[in-house]
Amino acid sequence: MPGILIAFCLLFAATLTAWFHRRAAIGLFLVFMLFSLLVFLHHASDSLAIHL
Amino acid sequence: MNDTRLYTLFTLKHGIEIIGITLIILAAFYYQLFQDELPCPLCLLQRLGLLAIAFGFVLNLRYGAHPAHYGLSLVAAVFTGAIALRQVSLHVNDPVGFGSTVFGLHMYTWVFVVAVIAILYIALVMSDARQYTLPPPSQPSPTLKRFSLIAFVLLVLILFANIASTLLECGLVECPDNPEHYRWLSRL
Repeated sequence: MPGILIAFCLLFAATLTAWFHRRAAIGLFLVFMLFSLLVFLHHASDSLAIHL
Repeated sequence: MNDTRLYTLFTLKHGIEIIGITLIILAAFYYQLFQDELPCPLCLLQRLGLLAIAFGFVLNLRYGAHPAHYGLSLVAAVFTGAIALRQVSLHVNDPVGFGSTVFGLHMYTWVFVVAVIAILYIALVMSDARQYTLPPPSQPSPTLKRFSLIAFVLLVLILFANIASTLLECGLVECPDNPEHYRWLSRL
């Protein structure tokens, strides 16, 4: 799944929305943050073996 | 200093913050396009985090300063720092590292430095309570409105450029750990 591409698109949508609707933009940004966190966890663990 | 002048100064500050972040991403594009250094997944995530810091500044620019807007930028800065630290820890024992260096430090190390500076900077500027009570001027200056729009459009353009670059590099599947060519360009 192109996680990074989807995350970029979410941030693009949130930024574009920010100019027109504050609350919707913040909502989109929170979705983006959650999604990006999952993408980061995937790349920091699955793909690049992390041992804690 | 009267309210209108103070409002103008704060608006200018928000615009400069956005332009500063777009300049950092432009520097990354310079290395990608002219030094043939394709960004790895963690590098792309660091760009994403840096651009996310600008989101709070956009809200400040458009709707006036609010602690919640700074809070979103702070969250994004911590996120960016965590990604950069992960990449630093990957290469900390590697004498070569990943990618080229700028003033002796790799770019992921610089991103970590920038993230820490952003956290300290936002914590400092958000503590100035005057910005939260300033009324917007009855007749906003057209130059200031134009400047705000330019800063916003720059950010949107650089975000779009990152979407295009990621699509060319990775296509519609997961990005490779060590990219060597643009997947979509090599198809042509």
